Formats: sequence, C-alpha cells, structure tokens
Amino acid sequence: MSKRSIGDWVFDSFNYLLLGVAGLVTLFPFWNVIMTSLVGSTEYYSKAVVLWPSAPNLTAYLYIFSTNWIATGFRTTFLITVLGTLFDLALVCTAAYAMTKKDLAGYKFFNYFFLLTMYFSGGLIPYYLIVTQYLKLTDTLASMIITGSLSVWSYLVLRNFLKEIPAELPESAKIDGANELTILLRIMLPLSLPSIATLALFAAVGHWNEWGRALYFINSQDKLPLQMILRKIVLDPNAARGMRGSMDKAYQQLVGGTNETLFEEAVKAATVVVATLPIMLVYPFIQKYFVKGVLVGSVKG
Amino acid sequence: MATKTVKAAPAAPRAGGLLPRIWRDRFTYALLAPAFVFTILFAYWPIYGMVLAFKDFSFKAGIFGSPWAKNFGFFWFIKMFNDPGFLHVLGNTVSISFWKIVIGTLSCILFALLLNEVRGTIYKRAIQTVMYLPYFLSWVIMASVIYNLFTSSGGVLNRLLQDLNGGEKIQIISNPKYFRAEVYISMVWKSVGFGSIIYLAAIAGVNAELYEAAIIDGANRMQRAWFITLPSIKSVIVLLLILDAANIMNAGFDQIYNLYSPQVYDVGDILDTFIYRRGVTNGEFSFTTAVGLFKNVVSFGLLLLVNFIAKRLGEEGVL
Repeated sequence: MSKRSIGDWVFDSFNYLLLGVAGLVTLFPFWNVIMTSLVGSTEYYSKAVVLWPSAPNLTAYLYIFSTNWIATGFRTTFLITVLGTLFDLALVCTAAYAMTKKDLAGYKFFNYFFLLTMYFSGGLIPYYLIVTQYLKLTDTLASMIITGSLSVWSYLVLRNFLKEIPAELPESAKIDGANELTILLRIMLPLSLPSIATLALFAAVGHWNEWGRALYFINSQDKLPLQMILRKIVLDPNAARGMRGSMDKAYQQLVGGTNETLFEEAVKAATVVVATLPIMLVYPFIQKYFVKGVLVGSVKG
Repeated sequence: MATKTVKAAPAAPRAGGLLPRIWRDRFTYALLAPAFVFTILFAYWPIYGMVLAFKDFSFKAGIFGSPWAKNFGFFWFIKMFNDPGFLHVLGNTVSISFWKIVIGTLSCILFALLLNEVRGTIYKRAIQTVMYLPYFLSWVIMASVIYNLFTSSGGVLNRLLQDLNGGEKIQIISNPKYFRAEVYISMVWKSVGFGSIIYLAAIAGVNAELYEAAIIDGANRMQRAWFITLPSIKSVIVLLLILDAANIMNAGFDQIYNLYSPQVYDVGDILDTFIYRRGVTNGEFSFTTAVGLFKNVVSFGLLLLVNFIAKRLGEEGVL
C-alpha cells in the first residue's frame, strides 16, 4: 500500500467528492428550512436559493410563539419523553434481571412469552379499541406513556449484558441478606450503567419523536406533543387553517394591531426549526452511543 | 428402573418440588410482574382482540361481547377479498416494500463500500455524522422539510425544476406521478447513513490478509470490493434481507402517512394507512381488524418461510 498509483488517486478524489456531495445533499434541506424561517417573502422569491438572508428577521418565530401551542407541545413532549423512558427502562431492567435466573420455574415460558411479541402482534385496531374503550385512556398523557409492552430488543441486550456479570456478586449479596430488588438496584444496575444509558437514549429519542399514539388517542390541542403541533401546522392544511386564524389574532395582539400578513412559508419553516433544534443540539453527543447500540443489538439474543 | 435412578441422581440439586421453588423465587417473580402485566395488556390482549375480525362490532357490547359475524364468522374476510380497495392497497404495499428493500439495501452497501475506502479519519467521521443525522428525526420533521423544498408555493427545488421545465408550473407534492420516487428518495435520505453501520462493521471484520494477497495479484479497488469484500459480508447481507423480506407487509406507516394526501392514495396508500383510515377514522372496526389479522398472519408466515430458506442455504436464521 506504500505507493499509490494514478488510478488510486483518481478513485480517491472521485470518492471524496462523491461522499462530500452526499453529505451536502443530506444537509441542504435542513439549512434551507432554517433560511426560509429567517427571510421575508420578497427576498425568498427573488433569489433562486437563499444561502444567507440579507436581513435575517425573527418575526416568524415571534409569530409561532404568540400562542402557547409550541410551549404546551414542548411540555407534553418533555413529559412523555422523561416518563416514557423511565417506564420503558423500569420494565426492561426488572424483566432482564429476573430472566438471568435460568433455574426459575417457567423460565422457558416467560422467555418465549416475551420473544413472540417481537414477531406477532394484534395490530392497530384491537390495540386502539382496548386503549380507548376498555382502559379509557383517550386524551390522557398516560396513553402516550404506559400503553407499550416490554421492548424485547432492549430486554435482550440488557439480559445478555447482565449474564456476563459474575454470579458470585449477587450470590454474596444474598448471603448478606439483600433481597432481589436491592441486588438489582445496588449491584446489577450500577454495573450495567453504560448499557442502560444507551438503551435509555434509544427510548428517549423514540418518545421525543412520538406522534402516532397522539394521532390515535389525543383530542385536546393542549395535550398534543410537539411533533403533532408541527404536523398540524405544516402537513395538515385543514388543521392549519384553523390554527392560523387563532395565531393571527394572538400575534396581532402581541405586536399591536398591525394587519400585516406574515410570510406563510417562513411560519411553517420556523415551526420545523423549533421542533428539530433540540435533537440537532444533543445529536452530536449521543450519536456514538447509537452506533454502539446498533452493533450490540445485532448480536443474536 | 435401576438405570433411571442412577441417571437421575447427579441432577438432583434442585431442592424440593415446584411450589417450594416458586416460593423461593417469589421476589424474582415480583420483578418479572410489571413486564408480564404490560405485555399481557398491550401485546396479548390485542392479539386476543383479533377475534373481532370474526364478529360484528357494536360499541355497546365491545370487542368481546359483539355477536359473531355471518358466514361462520368469515363475513369480513369474504368482504375483504371482494373489496377492490383492499386488493389495490395490498399490491401497493408489496410493491413499495419490495423497492424499498432493493433500493435501501443497495444504497447502504454502496455507501458502506465508499466510506470504507476513505482513509482520513476526520473526513470519514464528518461524513458519518452528517449522514446519520436524519435517522434521529421523526417522519413528521422529514416530511415537513420535504414540504419546504417542494411546495408549489415557492419551494426552492420546485422553482428550480420549473426553471428547468421552461418556466412551466410543476407540482411535486401530492402528484401521483412522483409520489413513489418521493418515498424511495426520502427513505434513502433518512436511512442510508445509519443503515450502513452494520455493513461497515461487517467490512471491518474481513480478513486483511485477503486484501494483501489480492493486491499482490494486482487486483484494483473495484475488483477487491467485488471479489473479496462483497462475498465476505454475504451472510450479513442475507440476514438483513431475511429480516426485510419478513417485513414486506409493513411499507412504513410513519413515512407514508406524513407524505401522502388523498390525491396520491392510488399509488401511495398501503395496508397500515388503509387500516388507520377505514378503522380509526371511519369506524369500520371489524373489517379493518380482518385486514390487520390477514397482514399479521402473512407476515408471520413469511418470517417462518424466509427463516427456513435461510437455514437451508446454510445461513444463520433469525428464529
């Protein structure tokens, strides 16, 4: 590999260029959304593409924050992310630890009981009817937090990790009189903290991006998570019309009676930016855990 | 009899019968209880709830109290197979899934191969960081960003395409002509980076001596990729294809639901969106439960089938 031929050089240049272009193509749409949120309609339509606005302005942001929808969206999203992640982890940790005990009566039954749910489900409609009709969780935050079963993938990853912990550790704690819950909380979980942190990140990103269960179960505007607020403003023309009416009023009250019409695309883009920013900010720090998680999870359970 | 007792003797350390063992492990069962209860509630209860496919749903009586349907309970299945809407959506689902698997797999492998040839670590990291990003964003955000690019009220790419088209108006969003392309391209955009991780890891595991030998034999990079890398990661590719194939009835609710509109139902409606609209929105609960049951049974059958085929081919299965 010491001497690089001309062919190598050509290939490398071409390859670097190609990947660079792929990166730019991936990023450009996000950049364009940010720029759209900052320009006025005149500049937006007069230029082929706005790489940087001549006079960036934040009116679109002022406008979308004039009602408290974005704020309540954030609150709901924050709550379901924190509580949902804790709920998921509670199920995963307790089940994974319990299932490290292979001599448990019914071990095989429980193992298949959980595994089967990975491959077979009842489908949307029975689930929907059970949550709404039988458990009466319509329009509650709980419908977006506790209406899930054990995450089998996380369970397998954690169980395999816990099995690697030498059995002497829990055994000796037991002799000292610790019960199972103490062993789990004081010994097993602290030792598997890196794995649990990775699983928690996966769960948290999933809950942060939650919109499906809100679509099925939530009716009140003030309980919708951020993703659904975004969906309504940008992707659902009927809902947007109603919301824009109230937003117009709130905005006019805020800035004092001016009847200026806001550039609609900037309003939509600002909503996208606000909904995307939190993930963009934490993403560089959590990225590597996800890569690790994918590789750990690909080991057969 | 004598041999039996002799055999049983070494395996005796299990103290006591079943009940004492259960009592001994009572705390372990208590730890298992939460996951067990919620899995019953939200996985097994809905599975049992699929009996609704054989019943006529009434709001008053609920799933389990509703009366049985006509034709020995198969009324809704007969209706389903006579419903042109269902057959059409089934076709859409399989075709969209199929092309998503083909395009997705090829793009991920190609990206992994190209990335593997990059020697500068910093450049490689930068590209990876950028390409993994969309994976972390929801389809609501992705669809909104696509809207921003292509909206006919002045999306950047929409205007560019119009200029290329000699100034004539072009509608990309909600246009049945472009919808499938939109689905495939946005899928690649969202998942090519993250989906390549597993292939990259497999490539990293290929024996370096093979490459050295090939270099001595005068193989160029293309030849090395074709004759060494790809055959070496074959089992990973097959394994992932198996998982994809078993998933062919899922064409991606999140993606389709956020991208589509009534104008593109003809080319874009899939089983999951069909079930949602006819079920949750229209309240045709028995009918859509039958569709869901059909979908899940076929999925499960496919999983067993591809698993069997994979094992026959000498690959490791997934079950």
